[in-house]
Amino acid sequence: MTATTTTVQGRILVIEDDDSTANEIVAELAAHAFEVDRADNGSEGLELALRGDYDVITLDRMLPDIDGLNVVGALRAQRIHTPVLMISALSDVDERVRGLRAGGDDYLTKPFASDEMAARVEVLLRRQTQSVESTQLRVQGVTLDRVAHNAFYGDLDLGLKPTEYQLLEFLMRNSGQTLTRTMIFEAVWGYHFDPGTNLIEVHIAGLRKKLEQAGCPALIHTVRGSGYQFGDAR
Amino acid sequence: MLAELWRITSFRLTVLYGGLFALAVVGLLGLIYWQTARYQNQQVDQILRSQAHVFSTATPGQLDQNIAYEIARDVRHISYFGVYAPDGRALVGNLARVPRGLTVNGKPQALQTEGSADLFPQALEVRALGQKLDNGNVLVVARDVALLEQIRQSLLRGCFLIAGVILLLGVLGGVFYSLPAVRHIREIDRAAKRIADGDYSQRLPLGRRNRELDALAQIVNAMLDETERLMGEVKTASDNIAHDLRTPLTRLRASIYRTVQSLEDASPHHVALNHALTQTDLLLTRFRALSRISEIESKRRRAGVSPTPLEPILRKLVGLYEPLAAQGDVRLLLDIEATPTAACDGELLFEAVGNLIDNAIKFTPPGGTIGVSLCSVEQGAVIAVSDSGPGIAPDQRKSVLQRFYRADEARNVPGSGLGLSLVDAIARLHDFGFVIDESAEGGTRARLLCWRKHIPG
Repeated sequence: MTATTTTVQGRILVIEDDDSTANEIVAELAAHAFEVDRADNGSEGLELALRGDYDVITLDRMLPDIDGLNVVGALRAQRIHTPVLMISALSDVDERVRGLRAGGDDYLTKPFASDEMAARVEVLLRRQTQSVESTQLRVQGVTLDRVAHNAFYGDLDLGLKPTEYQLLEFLMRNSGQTLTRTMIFEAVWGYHFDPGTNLIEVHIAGLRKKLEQAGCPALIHTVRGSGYQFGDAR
Repeated sequence: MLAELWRITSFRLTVLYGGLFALAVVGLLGLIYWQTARYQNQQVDQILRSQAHVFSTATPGQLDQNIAYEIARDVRHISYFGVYAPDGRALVGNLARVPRGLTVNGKPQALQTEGSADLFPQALEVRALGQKLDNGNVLVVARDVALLEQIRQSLLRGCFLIAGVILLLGVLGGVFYSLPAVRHIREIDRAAKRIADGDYSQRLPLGRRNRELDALAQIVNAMLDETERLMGEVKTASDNIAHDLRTPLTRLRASIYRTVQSLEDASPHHVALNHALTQTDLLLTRFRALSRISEIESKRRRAGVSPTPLEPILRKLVGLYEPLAAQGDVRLLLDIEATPTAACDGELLFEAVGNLIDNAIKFTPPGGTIGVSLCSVEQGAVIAVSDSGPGIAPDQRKSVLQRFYRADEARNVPGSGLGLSLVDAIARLHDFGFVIDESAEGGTRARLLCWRKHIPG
């Protein structure tokens, strides 16, 4: 997240017909050191995507020529598994389900905070490069036993409750990445509405306390105005 | 049912006309009877007078013969004659004595047969005439008028029968004509209740037969069209404001955010810009909540509704809000009495109950308790969230459901004033009851009655 990152994080294809939204996405992603291409209609977007050399695609659900759902469908039919972040003005849960069922990997409703969009793109990018889920996950001295659902700092059991474990697992799986409250709420609790500012904050506070009690240095950082991040940015 | 029928004008009119007609028929038959009786009496009196005249002008010898002749001729046994000496002794005829109550004045009169039953063994009613003869004897001529009585009885029977039939037909006809109206009124009642509950898309149904009712329903429907249009405009306006302002606000937030990011760590602008960021977030939260409510309200279909077990939802919610409650030194207790399911959209119900708990946490002072309970009654599941906070005054319980409404006591509590409106919108979408009253500790108790208030259809 620091501005000093100069290496290109990845190549992103933005399929979006609305110019101002597209500019916003492109600017935000460029600020996060992504290389960005833009297509302003479905057929051009599909053509670019079919070349397959993108790491993540952001796709507007409502395009002038082809429905966003059909674009994803066509991509998946061609066995192109580039992660797709669907962006839509349709916030209905059913629409989300349809978007994900068609092959989208994540779903964001308009209007969105651009840092939230960037955070989601980064998580999608990481998910793709992540190795096969192992039974153990170790980040900066904290170990997750993914079979017994336990967490340790060194040899010390943190004694996490199920929810705390899930929260820590989500943070650690995406360590070094900014995770917004909404993303955390979606991943840990599985619901898609605005949980409010304090709700996630107190859960994070509880988790921080347990880590601190085990003698662990402060690993969960608050990213001001955005969310949280486990460990240091890479 | 009868009370309902009685409210229908056509039913009342039919019954009233039936009654009037029955009365008229009774009156007509009465008149016929009266006329017949008078005519009959006149006839009988005429006969009596002429017989008396004949007998009184005859010589005593002729009189005996005449009377014997008349008696012999009277095969129907309806005529009675008698001649009595001044001391009352019967001289001739078939009447043993002068009937009691007979005034000997030469005028025909009705005679009560009581007390003289031995004289008139068959008669029910008798007309008689007593006259003094020139020789001082008394002549009595009487005639049985049983025929009249028979006519009267058959007329009376006819009266009751016809009146009964007319009344019955009247009531049946009334029911026949009024039942559609009763049904129609019931339908109107149902529709009106739905409208009163806020479903302005409902219209009063039109019937096929009841023109007046239809005319009225059409007027009301036209009024509803207008009301719905106006309410729609107001809502659309506020929704559009919320929606249209969200995009520029999001962009405003983005640029503030980017500015904060680009600041040197030691920059003095950090505090001011972070404050701006927080305020913008607050605004966005409210607009999001507002859009969310209108989104839920406009959701008319029920695709997401399926039988959902409620216990896991509540357990998850209590787990989610427990740390927040603990932070405010409030105990959050879960009380599961039963494990019912409800036909609902689990995600929306989670959001609704979450808002109730969130609200309860905001208003419960440190050391207080919030109870989340699930129980089952005859109609279905009941979810209750009760707190030990200050409660909501009875006159404000309806107002708190309005968007942006904040009770006077709640002005300094953070929040958008949209939480309960959202719960209300979700309850309405499911057609569930949402009731706010007082908890056992004197705080607020909010209950979701998880069954459909209206019978579908």
